[in-house]
Amino acid sequence: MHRLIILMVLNLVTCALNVSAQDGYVPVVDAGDFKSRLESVSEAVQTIESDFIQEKKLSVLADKIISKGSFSFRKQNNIRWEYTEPYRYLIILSGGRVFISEESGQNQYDLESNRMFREMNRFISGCIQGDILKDDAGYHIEYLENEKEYFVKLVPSSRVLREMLNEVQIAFDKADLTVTRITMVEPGGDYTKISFVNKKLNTDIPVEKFSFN
Amino acid sequence: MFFGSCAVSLFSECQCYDRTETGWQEASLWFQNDDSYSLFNATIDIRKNHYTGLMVMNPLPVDGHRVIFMTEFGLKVFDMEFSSAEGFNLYYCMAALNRKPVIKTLRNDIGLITGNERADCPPSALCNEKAGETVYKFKINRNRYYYTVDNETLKISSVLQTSPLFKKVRIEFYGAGGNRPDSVTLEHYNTTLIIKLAHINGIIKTSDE
Repeated sequence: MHRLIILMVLNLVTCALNVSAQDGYVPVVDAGDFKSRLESVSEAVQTIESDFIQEKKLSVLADKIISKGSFSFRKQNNIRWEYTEPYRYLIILSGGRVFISEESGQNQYDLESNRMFREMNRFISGCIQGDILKDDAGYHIEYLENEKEYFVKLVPSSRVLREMLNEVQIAFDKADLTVTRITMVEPGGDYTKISFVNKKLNTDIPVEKFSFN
Repeated sequence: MFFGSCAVSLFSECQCYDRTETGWQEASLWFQNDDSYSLFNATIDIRKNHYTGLMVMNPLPVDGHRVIFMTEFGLKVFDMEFSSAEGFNLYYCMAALNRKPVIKTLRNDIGLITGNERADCPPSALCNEKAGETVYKFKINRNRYYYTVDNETLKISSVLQTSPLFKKVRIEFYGAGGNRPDSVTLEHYNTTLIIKLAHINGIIKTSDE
């Protein structure tokens, strides 16, 4: 279960797409500058609201499975993922606790007493605020760019993790350096891609949105 | 004689009589004759662990199914195949569940749900009938399987798997018709393992961006 949570986190945090030169990506000349600017932007962002579209590609299916929902973030470490299609599923991380609501019921867990949920919280926040790019020990990180976006590829250093995640990629909009797409590629080529749309930065998100009621 | 008595006690409202195979041949297993994949909202509780997500059941070209269970975030939990030609094949199982007894149990359970782990032999007993249902009994090695079939729809409404002395697994199917049930509940009697499936209409996209 713990590994599941870690992978869920990684899936949320990273994710990748089979992106290569066909999208015109070239290596970022000054990755340090990009990271520095990303850090500045992250410091200025207090809240994020966004819709998301998640695509799951399985080699055994010709079609992709699409999920949709909304995402909210409020400093510090208040995160809300709400799936609305094809069914409702809600996960909130806030105040040192995680809350999960699904059709079969609701559950709460204490982040402090659960190392895996703590890691999950750290990873999600790290992705949103760009801290994951500082984890040079956990990933081999490659920085690419094209006209519209920065594209960061992360290859897990852990062999155990690579058995489940071949590569993880995060796309940042060059206009505002926010995450536009997260994709996770599995060893067999199946992938999950989460695209963030209708992003709103620094809006007033009530703290009640992260309550467990 | 003893086993026959057990069957009667399990289905006390039924009357046993010598079988004809005709009824069973007319009965229809769920997921058979599928021509496209099924998508379910799935929860699996194994002891203290709770998994939730999507389960895809994709029919193979000849006979069998590829079954993939993944979390809401797309992380695969397991990926297994039941093929009449190749047998059972586990493509992937996350480390937390990848233990022989767990795999063996999941193979049994998912195989029973999809109808891929079924008996080729004719029913050794047939009980009829109360509430418009017929119960067919199979014996495979030490296990007994009791398939309850709705006499009107000829669909299987439940499956009970037992050892010679104890009940092991019970599956309830709910659905009006068609090839796939609206929902499925599987529960073990001797351990905490519950699988619940609810059919959903997945949103699909056939082309890339």
